[in-house]
Amino acid sequence: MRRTAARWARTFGHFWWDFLVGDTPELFVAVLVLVVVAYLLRHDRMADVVALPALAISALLGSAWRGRSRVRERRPAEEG
Amino acid sequence: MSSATVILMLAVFGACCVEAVEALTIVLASGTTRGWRSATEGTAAALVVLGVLVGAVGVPLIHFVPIDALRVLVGALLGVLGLSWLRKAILRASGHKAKHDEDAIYQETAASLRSSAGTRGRRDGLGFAVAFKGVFLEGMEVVLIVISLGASQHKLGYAAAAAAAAVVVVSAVGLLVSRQLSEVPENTIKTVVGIMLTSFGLFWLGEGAGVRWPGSDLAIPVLIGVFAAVTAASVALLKTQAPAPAPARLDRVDDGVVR
Repeated sequence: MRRTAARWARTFGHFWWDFLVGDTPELFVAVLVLVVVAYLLRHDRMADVVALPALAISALLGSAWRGRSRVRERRPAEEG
Repeated sequence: MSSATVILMLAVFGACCVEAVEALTIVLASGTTRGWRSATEGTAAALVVLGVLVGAVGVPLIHFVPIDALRVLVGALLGVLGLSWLRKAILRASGHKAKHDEDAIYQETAASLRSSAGTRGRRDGLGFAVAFKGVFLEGMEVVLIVISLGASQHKLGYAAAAAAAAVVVVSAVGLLVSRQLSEVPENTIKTVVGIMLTSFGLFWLGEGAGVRWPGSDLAIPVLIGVFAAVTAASVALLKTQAPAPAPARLDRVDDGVVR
């Protein structure tokens, strides 16, 4: 019974780790930064409205660029 | 029904269609190789568990968690999910990542199921487990989207209805054609849904933290437009650096479940 519960807990934890972090930890960190920035700038109407989308876009572009780089770095080895 | 509700339902419907197409492939592979009884029972059991999860987690969230905290939490969840879907869609559309291939997934899953000793026609544990796991894991993302979008706008019923409609549509089409739906433009749907999830996520995250978006709900379509433009520009830019097209392949197959 205890072993089954431990297995379920491990599977549950693994699912959340995969879902939230997976192979793009930079996006997880970026969303945490977004939350902090949203609270810090909430009284500055223009700053938050510009800063939040700008941060999200930067995170997306950076992560896509990183994904592209990894593919390009891996390719010669794969072909070899 | 407000425009925000319509966008919410479209986002849930699109997300659920993508996941349902992926789950259908696994169920078909299980049904054709291990027998339809086990595959159907596994699918039904997973759908019941997912439905119970929506009710058991979603309803208390709406009633007991302060709305601002809830919006920050679901905004962050939608942000993580939306950004990662968008990233994957950009890499696939620009040729840096192999596209999802339902035919290849079906062949691979069916082959691995055929290699195990079967009990066709009777109850088959492996067939049940593979169908259950496939539907449950693919459905978990949908449950998160339904709960997040539904709870943040107090529209859990609408979100659940949109998800159920997608399951019905995909199942009906799957039954009609009796094979995996490899023609569904999964990457396009995933791109559109990724843009919607990211926009909703950012909007709710900001609202929950106390940000006052200009035009209130009207900021959502504006955010959608901004992210659509950024996605199109990123795809165009990354296409100029695309390597030679890679053959379609599976991301990862784990007991019949493709991630």
